Amino acid sequence: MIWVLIFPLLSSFLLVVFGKYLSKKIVSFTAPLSILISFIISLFYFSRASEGIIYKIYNWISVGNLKIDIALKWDPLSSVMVLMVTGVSFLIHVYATGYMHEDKSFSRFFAYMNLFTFFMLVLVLSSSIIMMFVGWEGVGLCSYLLIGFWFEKESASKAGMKAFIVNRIGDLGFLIGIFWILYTVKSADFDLINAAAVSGKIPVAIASLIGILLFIGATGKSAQIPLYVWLPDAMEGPTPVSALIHAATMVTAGVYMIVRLNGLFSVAHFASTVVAVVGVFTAFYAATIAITQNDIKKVLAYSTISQIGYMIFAAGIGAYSAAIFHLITHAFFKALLFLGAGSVIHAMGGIQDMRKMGNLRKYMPVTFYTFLIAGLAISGIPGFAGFFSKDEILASSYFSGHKILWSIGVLTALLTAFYIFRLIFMTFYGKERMDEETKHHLHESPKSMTIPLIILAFFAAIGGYVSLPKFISEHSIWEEYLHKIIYVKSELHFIHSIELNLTLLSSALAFLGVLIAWYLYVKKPNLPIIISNKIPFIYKLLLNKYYVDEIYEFVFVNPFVFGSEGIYEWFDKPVIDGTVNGSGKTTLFLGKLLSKLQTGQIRDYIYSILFGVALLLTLLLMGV
Amino acid sequence: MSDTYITSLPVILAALSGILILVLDLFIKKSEKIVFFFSILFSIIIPLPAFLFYGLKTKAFSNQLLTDNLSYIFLMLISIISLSVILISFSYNKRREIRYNEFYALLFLANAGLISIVSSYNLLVLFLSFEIFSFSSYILTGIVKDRLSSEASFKYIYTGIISSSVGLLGIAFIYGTSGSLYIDKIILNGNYNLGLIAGFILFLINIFFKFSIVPFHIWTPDVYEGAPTPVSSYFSVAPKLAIIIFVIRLININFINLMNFQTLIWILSAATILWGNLAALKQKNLKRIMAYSAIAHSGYISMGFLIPFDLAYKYLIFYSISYIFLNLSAFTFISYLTNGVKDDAELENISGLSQKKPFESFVFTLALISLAGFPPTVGFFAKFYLFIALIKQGFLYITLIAILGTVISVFYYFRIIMYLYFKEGEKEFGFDIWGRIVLFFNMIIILFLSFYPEIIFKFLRG
Repeated sequence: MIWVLIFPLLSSFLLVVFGKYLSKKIVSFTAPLSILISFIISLFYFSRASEGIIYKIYNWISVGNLKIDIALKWDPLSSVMVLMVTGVSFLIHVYATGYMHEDKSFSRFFAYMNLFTFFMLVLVLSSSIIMMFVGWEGVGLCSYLLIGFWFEKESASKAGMKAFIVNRIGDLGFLIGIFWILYTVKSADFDLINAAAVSGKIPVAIASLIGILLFIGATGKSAQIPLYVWLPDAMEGPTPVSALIHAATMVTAGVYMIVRLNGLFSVAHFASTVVAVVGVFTAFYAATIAITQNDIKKVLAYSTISQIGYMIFAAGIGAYSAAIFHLITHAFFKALLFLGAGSVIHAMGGIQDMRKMGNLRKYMPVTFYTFLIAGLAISGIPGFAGFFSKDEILASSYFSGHKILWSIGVLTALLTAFYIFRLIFMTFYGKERMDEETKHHLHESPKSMTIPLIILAFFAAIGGYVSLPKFISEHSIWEEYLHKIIYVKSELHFIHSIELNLTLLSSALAFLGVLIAWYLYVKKPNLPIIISNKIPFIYKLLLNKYYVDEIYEFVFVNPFVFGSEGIYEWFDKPVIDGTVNGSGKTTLFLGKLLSKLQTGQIRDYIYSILFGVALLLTLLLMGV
Repeated sequence: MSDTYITSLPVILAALSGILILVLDLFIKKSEKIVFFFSILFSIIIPLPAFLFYGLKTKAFSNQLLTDNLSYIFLMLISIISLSVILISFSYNKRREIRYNEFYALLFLANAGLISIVSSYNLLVLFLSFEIFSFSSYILTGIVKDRLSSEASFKYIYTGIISSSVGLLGIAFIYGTSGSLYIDKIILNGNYNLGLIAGFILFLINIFFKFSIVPFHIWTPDVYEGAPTPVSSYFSVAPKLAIIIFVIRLININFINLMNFQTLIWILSAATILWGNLAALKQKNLKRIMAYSAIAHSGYISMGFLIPFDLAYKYLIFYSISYIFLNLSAFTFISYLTNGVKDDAELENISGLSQKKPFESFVFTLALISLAGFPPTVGFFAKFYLFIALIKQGFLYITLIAILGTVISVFYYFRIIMYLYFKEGEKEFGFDIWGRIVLFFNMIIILFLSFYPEIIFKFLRG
């Protein structure tokens, strides 16, 4: 089993060390191959996962009673995740061999991508929360590196830094949560933590606090309110990175973490309620922003935030298998949307503004049709993957009594269908709005890019049939498979007739959303501008993303900058300036130096020593 | 061999190496490579007693010197330190026209002083050992012919002499009130009057000065910046290690608890951690950043002086070992940032260096991440063990301050990484084979210890 991890790591290592000497051909062969091998190995082991096996590698640290092993956990949850991660990662690697072909740092890119896959596998395979944290930080590190991959662009390196800083805040909460777990449970093992929580060894109040601390970590990594601000900026990275890290895998780590600790979270009712509320509000909030954005990748970024909101919402109301179900279907259709967008950007010569596109379906049919399938899937049009998973979440929320949250979720479904088809209509329909030269260069992407699109489209279309709505079949393969890892089984009873009505309602809303988008952007393309002029305040608010970046800058960043400026003024400036001013004239006469030093800082230095002496002796006399 | 020889052998070997290297230059023309070769040879010979006599406990000169396992551990580590300093200074000395024979000779004499600190059990011998080290280090700081270096050396001498005299005054107080210079005898005597305690405080101030504890740290940034970078690298680890070993001996006789120094150490550690980390935030020179980082780490380590012997023995040595390799890697990288006439260690100059020097940048990054205490690197474990031990002893608040300091430190360590990976720059620096070798071995050790931290405890258990 450990071989699943070794191949991506090995490949990454080789690319870092020998990357310079390898030709692009070899790199574009070995990098995806290593992921493919991992995928095949995990397929091979898939049948054993249902029993839940722990592969212990060795004892890592032991302090007192606390022993932490390096061990891999191979159970239904991790096996599903590993298959998704390696599968999607492989396709995106193949895609990237085409997309990144012109880049001068080709091997560096794949080294990071392989390393990312390795850490993501560590994250999902770990059997203890400490090892999960290793993966958690590792994927974060690769993410910053890849966001800032084109660091020649100032915005890219700024985005890398922003992601880094925002995630530090989340990680601080996560770390405190981990240490609190270690302190109360005396173990880092997931099974023991969950068991301790379920058996009542952790007081409910403490469990809730820990839950909220861990969730703060999740809001950072999974881009939820209030720490989502880094994800839209993260789109500065190459598009395959956005597809792999910022859509399919890393950003869903928070959801995975909550489901992995479902024993703890189902005891911690308060924390779960917070999770659910934050999730559904993020889903709605991000969807409203997505309807006004003009950058094709920004729309998808807010869409990702919104969809992860759904998953977090599902995890919060205790619908754990539905959360993972949506996570997997989302991985397929959102990776597909990003790769499709990448294909469009590739053809447009780097232009990402949808206002300069139009009628692209004529030039790139494969991209268009696969993108359409993904759009249908994310909108929740019946028959496509997103329909099944989203409806399961909404039905669970309805039947568990969260009617208000449910209604927000349903409204979001309408917005989702609208913004995604707004994107499709603006990009692939209407008149060509690009300039002549770009138009001349329009072309379908190479095979290495379109084949992954087709494969992903296949899964985005059929991926939902593993879990049919209850009114069709009481037995869901998916739920039965994941049954084992859920500690507190939900006893929700789905009333079939109501569920059918709910499904009809959300499908109707999805169609309505598509229809509105069609009416506004194909039938009457002038209408959106008129509307936005009619309600300039709301439009501007949404276009500027509720001014959250500016508010954060004002409330959090400025005081910090001010504070460190203060430190600079008080402590450093005297010392540094003293040295720099002194070095103006380079006469090396000791006499001058002596006089300079004696009148200057040496005096202060000695004062500081004598001050210390006096301080310590005073402390002594005060009897401290 | 008699106890006297076994005990004093390490000091004698180190001092002799220094003298031999000085003499060598008199007889051989163009001796650069030969001196370099002999320096490497000597640094391999010096730790040999550790391998021969590990496990033995010997005393000499009427108990003024002693060697035990702690001294031997120190001996091995100091040899690794001086070996890597020698390797990286070969090209550095050439580029900056440093007289190599003096340089290597002084390095060995400084080593002799440090080895003697670790072996001394008498306050006067301890003081003399400190001075042997200090005199060599004053010269090493100013060995380059440039203004910054001379100025740093001058500041170092001036402040160093003051702290030494404070320490000497302390020793006089101690002798005056207790009539003895043997620490264990004074402590076991049980007669703790105000004069004795004041004497110990003054005596400790000298040690705090060498250890860069706030407010006795003020020389550190200037000296680290002005000194030749390999020397800064040496200063950042070698004297600290010697002091840690010496303090572990003090903890063994329950010195800190008997003297009621917990609060004192508590306050100074907290101040050191916060000051070091905060002041590092705005620095623009890598050597200065590393100097403040070294101050902050002194603070973390001095927290460890609060825990009882069996834990301090394990966790402080673990911390030191991790810190040594991390700092050596970082400084090795910085050593090569020169443009011939002067050091070029401004932060801007490493912009985009990761593209031209991927391997060297990787090791540097690894060291920085680990210094920041990121899991799962060895630097994380060092802090983790120490913090857990402190919490178990009931020192919760100081641990929280230390964690706060660690969080702050992430910003300046990662700022360096940002420059390395996310900015663009034209500057190019050449690394020679020796630098690469040092970086490579450091990388192997850092990675190995990250995956298998328990090995150090296994080794310490015997």
